[in-house]
Amino acid sequence: MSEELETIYGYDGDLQIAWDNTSLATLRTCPRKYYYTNIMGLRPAGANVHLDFGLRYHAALEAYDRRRAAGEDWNSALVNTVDELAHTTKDFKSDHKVKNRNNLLRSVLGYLDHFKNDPAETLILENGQPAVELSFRFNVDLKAPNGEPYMLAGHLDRLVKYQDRLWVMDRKTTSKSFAYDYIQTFKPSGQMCQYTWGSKVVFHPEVQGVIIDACYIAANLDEYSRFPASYTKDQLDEWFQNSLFYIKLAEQYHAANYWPQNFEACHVYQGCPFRSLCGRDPSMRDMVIKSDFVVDRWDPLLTREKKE
Amino acid sequence: MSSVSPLKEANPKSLDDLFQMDPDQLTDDDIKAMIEHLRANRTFFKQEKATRSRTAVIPTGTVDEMLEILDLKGKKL
Repeated sequence: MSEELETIYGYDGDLQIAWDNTSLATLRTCPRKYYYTNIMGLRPAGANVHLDFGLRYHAALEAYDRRRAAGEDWNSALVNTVDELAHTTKDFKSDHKVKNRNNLLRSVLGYLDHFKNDPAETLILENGQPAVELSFRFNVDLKAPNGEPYMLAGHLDRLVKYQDRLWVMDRKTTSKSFAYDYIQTFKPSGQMCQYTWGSKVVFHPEVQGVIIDACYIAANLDEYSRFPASYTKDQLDEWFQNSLFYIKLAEQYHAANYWPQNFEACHVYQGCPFRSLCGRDPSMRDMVIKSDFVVDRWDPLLTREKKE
Repeated sequence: MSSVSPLKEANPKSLDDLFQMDPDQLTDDDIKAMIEHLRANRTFFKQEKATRSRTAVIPTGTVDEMLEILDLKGKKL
């Protein structure tokens, strides 16, 4: 392992200590994919336009939330947000027919128009700051071989008061239209269970669940939908036990120094980014890694601000 | 996305012009024009979608009739 990798905070060497949902989901999907992503820190060389689009969409709406929480009216906050986005996307080069700069500006404006009279109010924290882009982490009652407790961690878009109740608000962009099936993908959802659990532990026990503001990005016209994802106490307990089980399983893979492939996951959705690697003879893989991948290790404890 | 909004008289720059400008050169007026163009486009495509859904042909009947309505009769499927 290189010295660079040892500076990653959420790990003890190459054993992950702090677990966010992205890491857990990767492990559940395929241990080998987890090994390549989280332990080796590989990602395909070249820009990931979907990730870039999503990060910029979130950042723009976060900036809007901060403006509103600071007292700006809707119109002024909207114009300033679009203005800032138009300038800061100068470096956003994308030939994607949907996920490009023009549609990013359109989608952010569309969101702000759609939720013009939004009854969801951003909570103000005790330190006077708006509850946006919050990172959480907490120890769980499970120890790593080095004696340190494992941690669960995550990042929340926003905490809001909505119809007199507390909710996490999460914004999604999707290329899937809002069919019944899309909403069903959150019932259950490891990510939303982790957000709910984390926000209850770290911020407030009365958090009800997650409100999802989804934006369906299409060629000419975006659509917006808001729906809740909430879970019973027993469902959340089940998610928690699952998570501990998988963390312990990772420890076993690590001890055995063997991360098996799950071939059934290779072709799901748009296909695993490591298909080109697993599809080659093992003797060829080091060469493929050097030519087609870069090291950019995911750290669950790195906040979005620090990463930027 | 091309600009379909008829805002040329109010602002000489089309949405395409604005999108293609160096972001550092965008003025406050340009940003406001961009917002209005985008809103006008949205209205246009919403109306187009509504019209399309009102005039959509729902093929019913025999297989031959449905193929004819869908302009697929005689074509290799």
